[in-house]
Amino acid sequence: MKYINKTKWASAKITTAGSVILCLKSASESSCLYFENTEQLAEAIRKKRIHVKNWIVSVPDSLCITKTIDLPASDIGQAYKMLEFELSSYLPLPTEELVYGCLGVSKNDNLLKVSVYTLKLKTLKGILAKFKSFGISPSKVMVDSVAIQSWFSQDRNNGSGQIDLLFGNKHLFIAAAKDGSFPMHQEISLQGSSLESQREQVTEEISYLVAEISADKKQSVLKIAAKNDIQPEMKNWFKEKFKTIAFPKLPELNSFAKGCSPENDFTFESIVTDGLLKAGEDSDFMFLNLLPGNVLKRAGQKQLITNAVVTSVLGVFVVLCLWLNFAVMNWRTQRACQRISKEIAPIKHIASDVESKRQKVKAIQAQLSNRRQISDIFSQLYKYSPKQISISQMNYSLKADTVCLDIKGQADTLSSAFEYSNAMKDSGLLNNIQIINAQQIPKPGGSIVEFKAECTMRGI
Amino acid sequence: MGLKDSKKREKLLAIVTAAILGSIFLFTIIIDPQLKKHNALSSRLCQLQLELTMARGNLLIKDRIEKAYAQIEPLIAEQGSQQQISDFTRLLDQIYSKLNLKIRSVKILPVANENYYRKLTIRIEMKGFVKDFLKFIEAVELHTEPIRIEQFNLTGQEAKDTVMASMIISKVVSVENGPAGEI
Repeated sequence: MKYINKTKWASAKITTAGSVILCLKSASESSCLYFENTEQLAEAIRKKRIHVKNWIVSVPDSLCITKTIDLPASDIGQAYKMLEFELSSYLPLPTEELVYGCLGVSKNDNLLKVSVYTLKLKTLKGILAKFKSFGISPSKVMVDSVAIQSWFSQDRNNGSGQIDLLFGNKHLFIAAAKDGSFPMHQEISLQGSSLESQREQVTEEISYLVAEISADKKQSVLKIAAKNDIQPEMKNWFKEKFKTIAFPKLPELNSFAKGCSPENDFTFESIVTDGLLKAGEDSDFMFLNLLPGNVLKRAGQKQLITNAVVTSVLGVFVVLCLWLNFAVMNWRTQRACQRISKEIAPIKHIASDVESKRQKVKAIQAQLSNRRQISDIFSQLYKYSPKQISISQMNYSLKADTVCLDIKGQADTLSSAFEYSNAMKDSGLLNNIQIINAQQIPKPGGSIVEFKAECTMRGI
Repeated sequence: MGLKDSKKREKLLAIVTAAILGSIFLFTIIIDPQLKKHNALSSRLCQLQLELTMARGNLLIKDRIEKAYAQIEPLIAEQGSQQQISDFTRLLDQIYSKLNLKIRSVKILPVANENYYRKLTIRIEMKGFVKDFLKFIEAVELHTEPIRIEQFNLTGQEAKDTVMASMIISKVVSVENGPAGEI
């Protein structure tokens, strides 16, 4: 038989016969696995033939004390916190000896009606120990009736009443719901008598429930979960009282081991197990986990630590990747450097010698360039300067390829000072001489003009 | 409710602060040294690439440079640095001693050290007739040694045709050994 052997969520139910029904969460339709006994399941878990991360189990309603309480709470979370203090007034047991869970039934004004399921801690420990003995440590513990109602609520219509009937081997489970509210439910024992003999009791009970939820019996929907062989009989029972009678598809029960098919009717257990998976996902049942607070806290802490470790490992991995990235980049650059160094090595000395000579040649050429330049400047000054001009100071400086010449001198008149640049126009080197300042200075018996001129020769 | 919110906020702030401090710590310890190394290696790579290009370029012009160097080699003979300076001063002395110039001062300026040669510089202040000064300039400019007038300042004096001159003259000389490993 093919089944998924690795899943995040699975539910388990031990039957009264000692066999175990398992439901593994999968994307496809639900199917349940049948284990003949707990040892078979323990072996399957031990040998990793079934690998489940989170388990959901249920306790029978008969072990729980169920109370419906009105609490001044705005939401179910707040109500759950209030129960810690409120519970002692409803039950004659200290809260420390109890585990409890609740679910919202209805809300009127400021009061929230909640259904509280209470279980003795001792009883729960016994149940958990039993599961632990074959390798199951549940993450959620719920109640059978909640699982059944969750199973029936799969395609429940809001607006019309619904009666759910589950014919088990020993019990008849009846639930009635209206407008999506949480259903009322009841269990009738079928042990020791035939189905036909209990027809009157069942129909009476159903009539009562229908009257509670709806004025019009015909408008209510009846859903019956029963083995195929009794379905026609059930239809006969109710066909006159209900317009719509539906028989939802029961979960398929497959045997885990070859040759040990289920002999009894496990419809009740299959539906509970399948319903547990649905209830586990339902946010309405978030506060119906009967696991003790310290266990939940420990599980939360474990989850937190796991998350922190995973995040840290991921962080370290990212940093490592980043470091590795840089390290590889540096290694590649270093290799490129080595490669170029190897290329340079054989030609280094020759190239160095050539470079040395090149620089020396360049320096000597610069020294020997324009050899007669200053002599030429003087020659042109003598040749082209007018007689009215006399030069008293001259500055010559050579920077890179530019020669700057600053001249100070005297002239007879201002006009002859300003005409000096015109007079030098024909000289080759000093043709762009500029008068930058001229000033007439009085002297005994007349005046004299002092001027400043500059000439820049580029590309020398 | 408010207390719960503020506790949550404090917790969040603590986590954010721890995350930021952790990131800074990791950056400083792990990433930053690698980044610095990368920058250093990148610079080294660029430098080597430049050296390689220059070396290849030098190999291409080797013959031409050898030829040009053979011509100027006698001008740039290698000698000790003190010897070079004394040779330079002696050279100038030989020029101006023949002229009617009064040398006021001779100052040796700091040597400009290049990779493969050095430039010796001397400042000379002199006084004399313009004619002698011009002869001095001409003698410097036409000298076979690689000497050059870099700068001069000429000021006329009271006496006729007399000038006061200050000039900087340079000479390029070779260094004994070029910088090791340089191209």
